[in-house]
Amino acid sequence: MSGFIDNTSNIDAAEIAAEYRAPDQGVSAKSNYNITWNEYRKMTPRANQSANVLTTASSQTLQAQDFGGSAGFVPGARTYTTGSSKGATTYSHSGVATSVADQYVSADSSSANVGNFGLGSTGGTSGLDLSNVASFPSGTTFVGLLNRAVSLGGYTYFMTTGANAATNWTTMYIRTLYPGGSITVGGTTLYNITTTVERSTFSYTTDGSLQIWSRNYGLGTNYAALLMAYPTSIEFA
Amino acid sequence: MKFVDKVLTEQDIHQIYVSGELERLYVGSKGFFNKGTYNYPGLDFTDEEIDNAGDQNHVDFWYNMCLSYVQNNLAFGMYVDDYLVNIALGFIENNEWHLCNTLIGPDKDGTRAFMRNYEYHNIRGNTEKGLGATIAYSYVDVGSPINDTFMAYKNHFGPIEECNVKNWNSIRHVGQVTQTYNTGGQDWDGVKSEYSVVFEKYCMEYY
Repeated sequence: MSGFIDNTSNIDAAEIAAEYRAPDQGVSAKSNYNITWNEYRKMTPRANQSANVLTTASSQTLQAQDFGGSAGFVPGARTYTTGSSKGATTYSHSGVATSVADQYVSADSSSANVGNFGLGSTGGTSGLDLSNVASFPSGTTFVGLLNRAVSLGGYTYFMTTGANAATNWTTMYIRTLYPGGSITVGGTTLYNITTTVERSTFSYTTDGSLQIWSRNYGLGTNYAALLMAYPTSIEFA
Repeated sequence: MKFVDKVLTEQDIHQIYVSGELERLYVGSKGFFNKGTYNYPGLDFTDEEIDNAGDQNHVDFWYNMCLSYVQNNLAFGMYVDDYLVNIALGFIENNEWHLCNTLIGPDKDGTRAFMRNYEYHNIRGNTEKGLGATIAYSYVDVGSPINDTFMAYKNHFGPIEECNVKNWNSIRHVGQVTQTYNTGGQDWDGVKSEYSVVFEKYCMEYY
């Protein structure tokens, strides 16, 4: 199983390459040796412990430690509806999840692997090792980050196995990775962007082997769904 | 004007959402919703709650609706001079095109004049026919001004010889249809377990 880059050990180029392969190009995998340092700059959730937008190679100094506690995934989506014609209402799961995590989120007992853990086209569906990242204990696995959307809002779920406390993390940084670092639409260029998510805004529960942090978004809340549309790097602190 | 119609993919919908184009189309369309004829069928909220939900929640609603259609049915995107002006959601069944929902915004110049251009309808009609449709059905909310628009289009496009894909002369009101839905006994946040909606149904032939 691939895993988050452990920030308690030395971080080398091979480890970075293993977890950060190809995403800058979207879901089309790119050989590790083709990735340039400039591409990595656009991908880390934070640089110099700052969650700002990185747009050029020269404007930022990047440290190996900036990769600590981070990994990536390629989100997917599945939908189900009340029917197939006008008037139907849609339920959607978007993000990344193992089938077990997805089933927990489901309104019924259906389940599916959603998205791919890891970046590039070679990501798996069994989760990412989260051991010793932030305060997660050894043996923790990241098994899901999903928006469950319906009507005018929904819930965001972050799920693990092997965690041992609600306080195993404090802050999540998730970074949307556009192809090549930006998309341009209608004359406007959007660059990769990092969203900061505080654990204090989530409720915590457990269900069998799962640990679940969740929060409501949309109608009647102060929160929006997390953007789960492009390859994403993620860091816990 | 250059018209290009595209069968949208899931990645297209993500980009249209992220770029703000979906919000632009929603804002361009919500005036029709606000006439009280589109009632967000199935949502278990009061009209006041829905009205006050804010644009972002409404845009997210349509984002998920579009995702559902590209995954399970069809979504078309019409571009005028490379600028998205229309998303149509529907499905083809038994060679029948069924138009369910449409979001429309002004073009780059801030007008909707393109809707009176026969090429706009020809290009879209060719998309539908290219996917096997031999007849087109549309579903319109009861009381919606679109009901009047359809008849106005019949008068406008019917005599235009170049309007030669969709036969606007043939459009007719089939009647009211009642669609019934349910969540399959599941408990969906904010959605009624069972509900019915009445729509005006129209039929149109292709040339």
